[in-house]
Amino acid sequence: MNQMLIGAIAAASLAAGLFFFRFWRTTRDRFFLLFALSFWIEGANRVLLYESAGLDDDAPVYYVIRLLAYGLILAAIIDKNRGPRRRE
Amino acid sequence: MSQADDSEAIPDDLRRFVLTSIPSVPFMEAMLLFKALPGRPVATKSVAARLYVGDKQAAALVEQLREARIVEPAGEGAHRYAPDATLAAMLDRIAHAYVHDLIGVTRLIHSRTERMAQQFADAFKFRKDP
Amino acid sequence: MAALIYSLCALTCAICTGLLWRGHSRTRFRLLFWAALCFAMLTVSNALVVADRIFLPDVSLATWRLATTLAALGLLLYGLIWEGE
Repeated sequence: MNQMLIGAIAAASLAAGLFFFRFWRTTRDRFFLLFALSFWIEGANRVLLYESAGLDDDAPVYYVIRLLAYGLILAAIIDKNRGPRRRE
Repeated sequence: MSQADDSEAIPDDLRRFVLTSIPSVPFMEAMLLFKALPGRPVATKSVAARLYVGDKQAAALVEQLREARIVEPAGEGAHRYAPDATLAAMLDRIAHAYVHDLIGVTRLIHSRTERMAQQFADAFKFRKDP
Repeated sequence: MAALIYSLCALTCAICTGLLWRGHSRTRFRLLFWAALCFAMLTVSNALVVADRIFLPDVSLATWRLATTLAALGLLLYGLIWEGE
């Protein structure tokens, strides 16, 4: 059951990331690129690590990568609220 | 027809207004109808006739305009154009852009992706932009 | 250390939930409703990791955590696919 859930989460993360990636392509606002990367990293994180670390969330590699993924979201929010909006 | 011209022609704040406040082309057309007769009551039936839509759709459009504070009730089954000064200024600019860059503005109104992106990103701003 | 990081993740999700919910109540854009729900459930999912470790060491909440995360993503995808008119 857990394996199925992880697979489904990976697929859903990929899809969600794709929507944000498309938003980035359309608007050139890097806010969306950061969100896309965050979702993709989290999805990949679960799949790749299931084999090695199982479901043990204590494994440092698990939570370091998750920290990175959520850090990207925080970075996106901070970036959006600092200074005038720049379109790249 | 150059794609780049379309996106450069519309300034950012106008683009934002269209994406957040103009939900459809009929809405735009209805707004322009009221705007052409400022202060004068316009019956919802007239809106239906002038826009070639059904009464129900006309009523829905007028309700949307009312919620957006673009029109206010003016008697039985009628409304009049009555935005406040800031809104009126923005609507003037939109109307102008619509006339001079019809394709650009309608493309923007129909652009679901840009609309969703704008809505999502706006939510993450701590302070609301004017 | 793990608990600290997952708490931080839960906090990040809570911030997103708050911003999106505020956005929804201001604008009534439906997309923001679904996105807010998504991040609310992600907050729960991250909080469950902490709870799993600290408060319920004998029981594994892994399946619940995963199910919550999947539901969260499902709600977000629903909003992205259906809303936006």
